[in-house]
Amino acid sequence: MITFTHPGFLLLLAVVPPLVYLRHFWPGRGGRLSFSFTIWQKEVFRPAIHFTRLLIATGNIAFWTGIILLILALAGPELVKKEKIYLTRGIDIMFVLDESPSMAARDFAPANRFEAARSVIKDFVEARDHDPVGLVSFGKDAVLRVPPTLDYSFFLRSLDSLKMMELGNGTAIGMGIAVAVLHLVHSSAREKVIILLTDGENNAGEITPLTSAAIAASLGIKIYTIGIGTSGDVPLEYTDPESERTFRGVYRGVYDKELLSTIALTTGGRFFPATSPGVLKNIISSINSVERIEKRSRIKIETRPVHREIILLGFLLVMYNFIVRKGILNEVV
Amino acid sequence: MILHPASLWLLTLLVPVMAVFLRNFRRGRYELFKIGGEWRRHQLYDVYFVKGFFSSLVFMLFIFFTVLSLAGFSGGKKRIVEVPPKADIVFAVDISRSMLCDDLPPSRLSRSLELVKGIISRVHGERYGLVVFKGRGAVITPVTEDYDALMLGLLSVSPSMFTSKGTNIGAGLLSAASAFPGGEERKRIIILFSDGDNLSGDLESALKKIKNKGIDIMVFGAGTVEGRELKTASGTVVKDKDGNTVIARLNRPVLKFIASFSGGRYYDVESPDSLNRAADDITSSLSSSKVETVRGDSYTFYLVMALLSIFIFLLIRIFPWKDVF
Repeated sequence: MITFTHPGFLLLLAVVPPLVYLRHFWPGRGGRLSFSFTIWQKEVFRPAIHFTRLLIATGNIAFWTGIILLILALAGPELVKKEKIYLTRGIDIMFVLDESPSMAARDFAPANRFEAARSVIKDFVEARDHDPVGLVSFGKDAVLRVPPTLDYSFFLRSLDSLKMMELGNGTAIGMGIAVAVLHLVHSSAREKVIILLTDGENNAGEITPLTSAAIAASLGIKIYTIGIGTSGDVPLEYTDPESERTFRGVYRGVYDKELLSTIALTTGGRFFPATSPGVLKNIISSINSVERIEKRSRIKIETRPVHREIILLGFLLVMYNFIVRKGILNEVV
Repeated sequence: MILHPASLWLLTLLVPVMAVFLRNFRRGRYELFKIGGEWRRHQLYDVYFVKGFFSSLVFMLFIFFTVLSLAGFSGGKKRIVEVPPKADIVFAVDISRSMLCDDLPPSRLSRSLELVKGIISRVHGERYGLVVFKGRGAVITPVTEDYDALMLGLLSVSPSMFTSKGTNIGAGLLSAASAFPGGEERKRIIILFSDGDNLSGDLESALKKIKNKGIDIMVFGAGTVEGRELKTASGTVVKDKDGNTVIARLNRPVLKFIASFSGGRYYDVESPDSLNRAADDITSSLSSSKVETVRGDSYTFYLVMALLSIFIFLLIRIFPWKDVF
């Protein structure tokens, strides 16, 4: 946005139309000399050729545009940039996402459980405002993908590049929580939250889920647990990222409802069963609205004067007219 | 004080402009008598001379004053700029092959990474990010309070992270600049580690962009001026097309230029006290408010004079004098 420090000078713009009239249209204007053809005694003038008239027209337009720009520059144009500055620290939110092969079960339209989870996490983060977010994924092992950061674009890029099965066949819920807790330890946030999304039973890892939950509870970290999936036989299809072979089959398995609710309870969070993409979406948006803290912010206004650029442009336009009239067409006076 | 002294070169335009006016005046005089007739020669010449003289004069005054307004004279107003007490610091580490040279044992790269760790342990309570670059830059660890994540990021740094060639410091710095999250008033510092060898890309325009964003750059030069032969991944010495061994040297002038351009300091990775100096510089820059001279730009007067001149120029042309032209 552009503002002017001395808008009063803009009144000068009112001088431009009368000047244009006087200079180009007023019958009594000067710069013309009347004379008699009897004195001239040479051949009559031909009308100026097309190109010359065009050149003069561009010169005139350039000149008046230049004058207008110079008047604008006089009014002190400034580019204004507004930035919201938060005065309070947001909540740290860590997603812990299951990427074991069972997440490829196709009971969550349009693709599978994993893609459904990925898309709701994306929606969640896009709706946040100045709360650091992080990402841990787990299969047989758990790995930090994104530390808690305000760099949402980095988070979303990492989330997009996440692939199923990169961490082996297994479900190490305990390790997933433990890694998330480890990376929240140094955080200065007053409130820290882990959101765990899984569809299986804990069957791998050196740390049990309840131990990690206890550690989280002792550090004041709240864990929301979301169990993904329907019961019964579910078609499954996934591609192993290493061998690039595609596996198809029928999957039967459920998450450990009791474990997930215990984890949530010990840490002061909540357990949600997600049986369809729609339900999952609702769960995520309800967590999104619950986990809010009051934020204080102010607007920081930065201005940058741009008069030099405008003066330079106006000057060049006026000089263009000079070159056309005096330089090329040899206008006198 | 003149803010943009280079603009004053535009004053040289006055010479060709004057030449054009003189040329046109001479030619015009000849035509004038042919058209106007000998019988009113005297009267025509008076008007012609007066109009010609004054319109040339005011046009040149227009150029003169416009150029002065472009140069911008500062009144030297001072204001106190409060430096935010917290900082975001992004480390931009060069991972080109030359950073593996062992003139700083075990290698320029590992010595640089040691310094990164040193700075983190010396400067507390800030947020850190990690960017590596070669022909292009990439964020490895986004700006975070999570030091462990940064340590993990440091472990993974090696020249094999990218296949791109060359050392585009500009691209690396721009990646680092884009890694700062907004929304908070924090001092923003990039700490660059490079040997400045085999440069590519447009460094200066990148530096300007970063300066406009108000980001400071501190520079660590890794390597020795004597240099060391460059080796490929398989350990063979790299030769140029004439068969000479390629030596990767520390390009100190370029790195010092980056630091001075961005208001930061330059340190040698080699020197044992650079860690202490850098850490002290960061801490002291965060705990003080500084007085800064701002442009009390007084271009308005000159621009008013310029517009006045060009209006007079127009009026001389518009109104016929002595009923002649």
